[in-house]
Amino acid sequence: MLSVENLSISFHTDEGRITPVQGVSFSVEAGKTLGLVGESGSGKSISTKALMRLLPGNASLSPETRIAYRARDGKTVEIHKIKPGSSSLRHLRGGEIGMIFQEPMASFSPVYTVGNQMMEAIRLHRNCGKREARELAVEMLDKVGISNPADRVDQYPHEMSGGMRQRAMIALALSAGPALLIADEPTTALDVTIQAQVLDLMRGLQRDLGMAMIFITHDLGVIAQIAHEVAVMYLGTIVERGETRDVIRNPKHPYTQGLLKAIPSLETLHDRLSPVPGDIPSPTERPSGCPFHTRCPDFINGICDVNTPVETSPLPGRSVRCWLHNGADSGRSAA
Amino acid sequence: MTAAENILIEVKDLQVRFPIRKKKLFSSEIKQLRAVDGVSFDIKRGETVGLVGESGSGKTTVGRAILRAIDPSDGEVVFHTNGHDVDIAQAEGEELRKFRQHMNMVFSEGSVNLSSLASDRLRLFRSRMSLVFQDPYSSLNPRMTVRDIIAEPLIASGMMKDRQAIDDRVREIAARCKLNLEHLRRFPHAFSGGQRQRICIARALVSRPDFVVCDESVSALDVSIQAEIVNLLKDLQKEMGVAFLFIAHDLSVVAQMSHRVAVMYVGKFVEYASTEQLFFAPRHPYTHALLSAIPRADPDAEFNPIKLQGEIPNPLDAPSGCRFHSRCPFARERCSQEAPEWREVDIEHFVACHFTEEFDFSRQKGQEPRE
Repeated sequence: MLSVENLSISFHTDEGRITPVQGVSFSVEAGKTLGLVGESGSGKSISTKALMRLLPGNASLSPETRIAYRARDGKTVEIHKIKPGSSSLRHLRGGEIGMIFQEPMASFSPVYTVGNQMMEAIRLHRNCGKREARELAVEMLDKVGISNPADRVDQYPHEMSGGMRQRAMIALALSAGPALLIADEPTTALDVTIQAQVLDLMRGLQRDLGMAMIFITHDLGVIAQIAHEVAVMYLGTIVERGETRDVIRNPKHPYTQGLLKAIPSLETLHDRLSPVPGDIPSPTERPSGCPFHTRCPDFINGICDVNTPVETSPLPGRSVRCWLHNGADSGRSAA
Repeated sequence: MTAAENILIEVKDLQVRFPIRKKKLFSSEIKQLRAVDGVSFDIKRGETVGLVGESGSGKTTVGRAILRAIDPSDGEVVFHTNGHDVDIAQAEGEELRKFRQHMNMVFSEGSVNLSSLASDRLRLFRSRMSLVFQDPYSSLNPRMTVRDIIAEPLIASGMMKDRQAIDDRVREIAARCKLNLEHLRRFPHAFSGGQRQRICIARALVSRPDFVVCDESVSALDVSIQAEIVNLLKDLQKEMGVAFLFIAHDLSVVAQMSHRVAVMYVGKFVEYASTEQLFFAPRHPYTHALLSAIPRADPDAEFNPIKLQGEIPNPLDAPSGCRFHSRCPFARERCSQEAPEWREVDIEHFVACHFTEEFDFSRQKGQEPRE
């Protein structure tokens, strides 16, 4: 449905050119959820912003980037070629691809009621009158589990609580009926009980509406519950990709392994946690070779810090960027 | 040492109320927001007490009130030091002044009720307790070097005056917090989130306090860094014998850090027990619901969060009776009429629920990972 190849994004800043995303490739199938996990600065948010062409003015895509999206009418849209401000981009945003942001307060306008903002989105993408749009807005609010939707539709965002606002945000994103929903840390700012409600809601809506999702989070626990496939990002590259269950059960990349070990577990108390040593390098000082080599426990001197690992597939349905697995392959082919 | 002597801080019926003024056309109405409404617990020496709850439950206010960063409206916070009970909190005027020069001595001899201590004396106590904030980016002054940041508590409390002695102390604590000597000359902007949090911890521990409040201290950090800070705090506790009040909304981090855990809901404690008891045999429906809502990084683990109805109530009009009754799946008539008593149902296991005896929320412990 959506395929991204060689996505590289660079920014021109006062300190020179930085490239926070380098050679990212992934695809999303209809009706499935892709989870993007990564720590801060791993480039997970800006990669998905590129899909909606929402990057700031000083950003540029590399010429090798290909983003192909198969729209509902069967046509393939090449997102990387669309001109900014064109009508096809407007149709894509919201209509085909919906987006939910982390901070619902910042993504609603404070001066319009929630209903007003929803009606605007609905009328932009569907050919319908005001009354009809309003009815649809109430219906959507009801669907996401907001009580008294007929009253809530006339409230301003500040009159709602955090969890309710996030649900209204989901309703807004879904009101134009997108085929693909990008959710950027939709539950991070919420309490666990509300997070559980929102996750449950999103799973249910996906089942009912059959849309595809890209779910961005730093919480592998959330990924385990919602994503069919997972891509682990570190400093702007996908280091490991595969089916969620396989990746969590049998991680191949040292970073994925470290990340999984670092998560405090509720099952074993008072164990010492095992952190990933070192700090995340700043984007301006991107390490040479494999970006993870500065913190990797299995670092091979002379290889990992010099050459960038290429993508290999040690298992069916899995891709890993690491010399440990590359080495095994090339060794076999040489023999 | 007996258990009672081992107690460092005793909180009795702590209440914090904030007046909220509502303007009307010709008059104004003052409502009391009960952020903390009658909380009692104790913290032992060298122990970590975890405090969990959803946003708006009042956990930060409890931490601040114990430190007297916010003035409690009612109740006592008794700070026990070794041995006798000299309650200088009740002392007044002339007597207080006499105590003043012996303040450092008094610390090691008596217990002090912090909630009624006047500000000049409070200052002397401040070096005995400390605070680590959530956001390591906004809690460090960008114009001060790391050395000055870490040294500030020593200077502000008047504990140390000699520059050489201050330098020695700063270097010692920096080394313990795994900061290099060259880091001390730099400014905070040059550091990453994890390093900044280590600076904050060094600052909190430089005066060798008995008690430190960690308010969401690891929440803003990435998972791989978070584990390192949790380990560091545990190590420092072993070395220095400091007690922590560890406030967080992430239950799994609290489980790793704490010896005992308290669960808060709309200004009140609902449960307080050892970590083991609380996580594997909770007695309150709210604790049970919270635990069930944590997504596990295990695709085969059952994930059936208990659906609580609605949202956390506004403390301005908290529900009558048991505050959880409006969302509790087991609520009955009595729950909405009568506030449940805070009672000890097992050894050091406190619960506020009328019907706790009827529930069995205990769950199987997972297998220990083999190394």
